[in-house]
Amino acid sequence: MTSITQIHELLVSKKMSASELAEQYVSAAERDNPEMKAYITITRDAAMSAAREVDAKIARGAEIPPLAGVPFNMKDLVSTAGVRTTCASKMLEDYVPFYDAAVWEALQSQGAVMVGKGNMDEFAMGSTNKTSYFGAPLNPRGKSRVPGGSSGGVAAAVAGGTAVYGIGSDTGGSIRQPAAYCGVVGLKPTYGAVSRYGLIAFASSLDQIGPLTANVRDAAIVLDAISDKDSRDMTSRGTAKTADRLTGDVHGLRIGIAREFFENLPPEIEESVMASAKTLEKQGAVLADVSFPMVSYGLPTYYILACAEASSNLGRYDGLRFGHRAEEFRDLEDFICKTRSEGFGAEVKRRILLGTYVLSSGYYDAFYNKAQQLRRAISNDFEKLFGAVDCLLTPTTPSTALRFDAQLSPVEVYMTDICTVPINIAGVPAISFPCGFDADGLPIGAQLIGRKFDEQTILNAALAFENATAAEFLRPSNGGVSL
Amino acid sequence: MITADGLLKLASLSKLSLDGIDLDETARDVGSVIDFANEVSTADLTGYNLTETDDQSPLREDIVVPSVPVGTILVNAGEAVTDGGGGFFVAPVKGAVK
Amino acid sequence: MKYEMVIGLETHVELSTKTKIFCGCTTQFGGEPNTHCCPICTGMPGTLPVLNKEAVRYAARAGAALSCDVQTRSVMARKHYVYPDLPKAYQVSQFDLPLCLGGYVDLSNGRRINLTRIHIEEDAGKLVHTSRGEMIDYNRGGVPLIEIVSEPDLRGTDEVLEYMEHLQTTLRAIGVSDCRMQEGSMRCDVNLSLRLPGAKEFGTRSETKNLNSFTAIAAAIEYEYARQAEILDAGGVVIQETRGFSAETGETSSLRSKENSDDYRYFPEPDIIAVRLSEEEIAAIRGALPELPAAKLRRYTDDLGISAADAKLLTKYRAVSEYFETAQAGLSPKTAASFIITTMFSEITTESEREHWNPSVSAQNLNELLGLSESGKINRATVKRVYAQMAQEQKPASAFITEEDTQVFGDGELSELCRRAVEENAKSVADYKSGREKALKAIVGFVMRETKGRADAQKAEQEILRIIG
Repeated sequence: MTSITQIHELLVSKKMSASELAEQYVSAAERDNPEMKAYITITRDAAMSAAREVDAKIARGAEIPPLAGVPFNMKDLVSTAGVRTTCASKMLEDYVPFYDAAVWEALQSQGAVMVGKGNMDEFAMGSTNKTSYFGAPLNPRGKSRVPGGSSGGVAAAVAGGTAVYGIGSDTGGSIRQPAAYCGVVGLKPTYGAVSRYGLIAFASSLDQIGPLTANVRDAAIVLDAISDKDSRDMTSRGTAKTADRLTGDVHGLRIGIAREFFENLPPEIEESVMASAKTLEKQGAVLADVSFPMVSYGLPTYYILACAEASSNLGRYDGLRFGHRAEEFRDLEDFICKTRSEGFGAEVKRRILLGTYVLSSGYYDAFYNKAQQLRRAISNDFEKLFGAVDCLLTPTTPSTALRFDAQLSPVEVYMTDICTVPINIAGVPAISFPCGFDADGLPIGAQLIGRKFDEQTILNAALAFENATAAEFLRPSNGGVSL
Repeated sequence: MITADGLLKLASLSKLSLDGIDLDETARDVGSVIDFANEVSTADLTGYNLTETDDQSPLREDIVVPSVPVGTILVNAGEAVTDGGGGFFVAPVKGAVK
Repeated sequence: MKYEMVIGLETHVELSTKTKIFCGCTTQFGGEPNTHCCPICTGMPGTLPVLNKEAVRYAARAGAALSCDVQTRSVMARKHYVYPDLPKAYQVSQFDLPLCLGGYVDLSNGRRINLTRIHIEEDAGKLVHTSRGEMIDYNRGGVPLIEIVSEPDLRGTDEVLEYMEHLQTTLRAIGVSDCRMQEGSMRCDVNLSLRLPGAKEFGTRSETKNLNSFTAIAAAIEYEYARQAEILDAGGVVIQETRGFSAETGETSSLRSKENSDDYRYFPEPDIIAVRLSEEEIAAIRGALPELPAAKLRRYTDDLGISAADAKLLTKYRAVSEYFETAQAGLSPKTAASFIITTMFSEITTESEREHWNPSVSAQNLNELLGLSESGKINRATVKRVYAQMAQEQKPASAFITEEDTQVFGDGELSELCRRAVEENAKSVADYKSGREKALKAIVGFVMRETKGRADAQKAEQEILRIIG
């Protein structure tokens, strides 16, 4: 995979122009997309015009920011004025927003070149991308495999060489799980590090925007570009800049291994993740066995909180101001119900119903309220652990990329997020990085979890691993552009 | 577990139409997810400090910023009418059922 | 009345902040439909609320003025229901942790009406019903409101109206709302049940929604009393339900009963973590409260000796009371009060004009004019003439008072002149004595003619009567 730093070097040394690059990436995306479906919308004209502006700047001899002219894939739930933003849903199939998300403003100000809008699970609800109204993207590391979800198209674009990096969102693992499945790096920043203004909400208290990249340094570069305190998002705080302080030095770093994250794992995943722990130990880190008993409650807690908020956030899709509209109906009530039933897919409806249930009178205390208490308990556990260690190392997923034809119940699909949801519940940052391959050659991801607003520590540790292993787990892209 | 009746009430609150849907099957499907969520009932939280630790959110100063032109506000509306210098979203009240 | 009314009120008051509660759009009333809107207040996907600092301060000030316990931590909550005027399908309000708890309103009959709470929430948009469909205008959507919830302590229409008037004058005086019922910036829901006098238990109540005038409130209460009394008289059972009121018919009718009532599924608004006010901020808000109308009314009647009716008129609007305070400085308060009410209120007649009290004669100039009169330098007729001139040309009294005006007759001089008047108008005196009261005017008229209007007609009349016994 081509990295951001490589592209930046090509541009600054004038070996390639931003326009040439954009042409290559957009053309590759257009060529591969009918089969790979990593994109819902490819924005050729906008990409080319952004690239020309970068070229003009270079021609003027001006310095360019690290993301200037670097082609990327934006998950299709980030509001982009004038470019349709579908959330991979029939509901928003033709929705063209009239305002920009904060993250898109930040990227535009750097001269970023958006190749197009990334495929995903409908409204970010899913772990396979099979819920996309536009059809699931294929995993470039094995086309019979799902790319993971919900930022599946974004991960697939990076692994498939049609984007240098991607912007995803992570509510319960939606950046890290597809990153692990597709063999790329995925960072979920601390809740509040990146403004959510313009991120079409799934679960407001859990959603966080973050990068999917070819390597660890790229993740730091993108994080620095998009993290900021934003007066339009009351929960945003920003976070410290990381790229310039990346050391890859883990001497004395205390890494906790919580056995609860390693239960019922396929041996090859357990072995790969433990081997990465040993690698870090060799680099000077100190491993410590710790315990995280609440892990098993992560998933039910997550589904209650996420679905409760989703049922609320998705109430606005009534066909009146935007979005799909039913054509046949009896009265206004029927119009709204039919609009929603036609516009939403099965998984979205299932989660709306669950969310309504856990908030409805008679069930609120047993479900929503209990889940809120568990959220605080899980946060307490993390705080306690971070007194004893500086970060935790876990697997990202309990399996490698699932087969498209695997017949799984909804709950079995939910289980693929068991290692990632506690992180969102507590609002802490975590990074997934490739650490091995299974017998089929599919990538395995390891996850480092850090303290709130301390992305630096986990980025440093992940970089230490990448350096120590000579990036042997970072494979070239399968398809797309090769420079 | 959830009954077909319970499902209907839930669908009505959720503003989802269950027309032409197998109620019992959907109730089983939603019921399985509810049962899964209900695992939280077994969690023992003794010893945990459950008090809120939220920060102060920064509030906004009371300063007017220009609104968005009405044509833009209405741009995605399925049905809208202009009215003088403004315009309305229109919610249909009577539909056409074949 | 056979039954005793038990009434609790939920009063919605729009706060007069410049911008909406979660976005920078103006709160100005009116405007072409959907021209005071942005992606946030129309609920476009991906938008987030940012709470208006002033809305929180105004709500806390209202709480302080109504003797509430203002909370250091309160939480916004989403209240879910689907209606086209509510773009997000939830209203951001407060539920279990409101901004203000407790508080009370003291009525003139000595009864105290306790408040349950005051919370902050956002207003909905407006619908215009047409044959084509519901026309939706979100200009009002997102305007900050407070909801003031009373305990079921009110016992009749008079108490309800006095309570509402108290809220109105208080909230206006502290500048948090204009409380204009005709513009919808103040409206209330009436919860009413009946019981036999002496009964301990409450009856089953109805809730009549969205009453937007004092007349409507009184009519709805009257109608609900009659309706529930008829049911109870017939041995029937009142059902708990939400009712609407029609101003045309003066009747209430059922909107929905409790059985299919909404399940609002409140939960804490995740986009706004919590609303915090420090003890210091709350103390500062309390400390900055002006004298409240109720206290002012007491001071006017008890300390200034103004009648209760006049005091009520003067304290109804802050601008009027401020004007009065300046106009009466150093003088007899009664003189200023009576001048404002008899002379000025007969010119400035509408409530709206009185609310935005801005007469052409400034309070300082009026004070000067009344001072000249009170010290006997000019007489009433001169006051009247000069006031008119001041109003016309907006100049101080001194600009219009001539030397002649100030040559007011001393008591001795006046007495002398009156004696002459009685002597020279024997016929009128005789007429008066034989019962023609009007004849007195002719004698006074003589005095006024002789003095070119400079004498005090009232004094002259008294003096003449004394002379002719």
